[in-house]
Amino acid sequence: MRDIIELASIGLVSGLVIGLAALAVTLVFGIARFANAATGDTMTLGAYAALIGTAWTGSFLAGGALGIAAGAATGLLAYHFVFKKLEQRSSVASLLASIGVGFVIRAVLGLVFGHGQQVFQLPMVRPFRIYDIRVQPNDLKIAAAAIVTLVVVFLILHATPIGRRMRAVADDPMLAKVSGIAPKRVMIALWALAGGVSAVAGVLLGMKTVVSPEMGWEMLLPAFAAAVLGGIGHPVGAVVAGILLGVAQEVVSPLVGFTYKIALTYAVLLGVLLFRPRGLFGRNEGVR
Amino acid sequence: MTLRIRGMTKAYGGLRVVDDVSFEVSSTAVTGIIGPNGAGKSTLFSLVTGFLDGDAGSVSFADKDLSRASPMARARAGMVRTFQVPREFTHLTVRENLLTAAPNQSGEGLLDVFLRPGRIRQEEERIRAEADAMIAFLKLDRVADSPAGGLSGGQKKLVELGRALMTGARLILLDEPFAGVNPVLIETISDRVRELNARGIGFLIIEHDLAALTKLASVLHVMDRGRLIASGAPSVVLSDPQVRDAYLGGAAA
Repeated sequence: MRDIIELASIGLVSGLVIGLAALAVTLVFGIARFANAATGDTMTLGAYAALIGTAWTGSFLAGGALGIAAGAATGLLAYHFVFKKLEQRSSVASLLASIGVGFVIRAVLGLVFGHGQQVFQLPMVRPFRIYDIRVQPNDLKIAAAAIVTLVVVFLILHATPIGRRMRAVADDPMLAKVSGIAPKRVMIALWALAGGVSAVAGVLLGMKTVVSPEMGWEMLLPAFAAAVLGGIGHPVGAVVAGILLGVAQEVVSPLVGFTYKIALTYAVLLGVLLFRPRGLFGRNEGVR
Repeated sequence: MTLRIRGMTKAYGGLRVVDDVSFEVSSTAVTGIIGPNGAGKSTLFSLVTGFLDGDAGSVSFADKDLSRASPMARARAGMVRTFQVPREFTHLTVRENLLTAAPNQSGEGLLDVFLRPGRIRQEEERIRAEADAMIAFLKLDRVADSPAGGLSGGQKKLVELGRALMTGARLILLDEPFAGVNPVLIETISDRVRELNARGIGFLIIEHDLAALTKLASVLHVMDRGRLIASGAPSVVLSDPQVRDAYLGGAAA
């Protein structure tokens, strides 16, 4: 029993990271109406930027801030040079282009930093026990950072005028347009936000494991699975589904073995698409 | 302020859905458009508000030519429409629906939330007060914080009216405001229209409920098969034999 709870708590942390990545995917899907395959590589870029920032400043927080800024900038650049030009085309064009954008980011990172693994120099701290459950202090920090990020994103979406406009565009783009909501400003806010959230996910993933050029790309499938499971275009759903997936992956690993826990994600993705395409939170959005 | 429609024409294939229609609508009056189904009334609305491009004809409001203007530009000029099937942001609350209709919201982006929170809050407080007043005026208090998608048909029509008013419209085009609405809400909607008209807002209304419409409108235009066949005071228009023939058919004769 204790093992399962320990695994679940580990899963909760990786689930929060998946949830953040899924949130970035679902935000873009809800508003820009395509599945952004560059999300994973934006995460990776954020993690490398945070590594550099930490090395420069000696402060992990400052490094993280640079990572977020780099993620937001990447989102904006991708929008400005690629996705804006494809807005009037089918969403397949944007999806394919995003695979290309992701590939370019990954290739450049590989070229600049090499394909070796790097780690954040975090202080080594002993795990402590809560009710006999072993807890890693770094996991607590990761969870706290993820939760703060989620709170900020949901405050932006629900308590600010630009967030309201973003949700309005997600709801009915035509009505938003005739209501005088400038689509370009909403898009800029969206890409900055989605890029920043991706970067946070990347930094946290890097803290938890290692930083390598492929780390984000490998997270893309779990992120897509969580976004679909949560009901595509539904931010709360994405986060909840991400946590569920993360916990489920860890809890089943003693049964199926470490190598195959990732297969669970495929199974869930397939199951949801076949049996409940609307996802858990069941609203059918952005489907045309 | 006057809406001037001149020679408005729209054809699909060989069928002239709107055929050389011209008339004027004063923003101090409530004007009605009636006609059988398929007479071209809703198409005319779409042409006037820029949701459809006409084949010929011109539209001006307050002496400003809007014939080539986008729907958004026409709305900014003070002329706003509602839809036959009400259209709202279904997942946003009623209050948020009204807030998104307030003008000058292209002003701030994401950065301003962090860099100029004071200005945003000021702006937000102003339009929130406006939205609150609108909610009270339209008797939407009980549903103000519910998602608009879950409202009844009549309440959705009130939300649409509220959205139109929040834009600062001077002339509001209502497409069948009473269709599928219960009698109590029809009274509410009519009262609000009357009161707003007294405050100087004009209305152009498409409606099949003649009894409710004639209580409101001082001028009626009748369309049949894309053409304008009669215009004038309701009592005069409704006793016109051509109108009785086209619109009311044999049944009312």
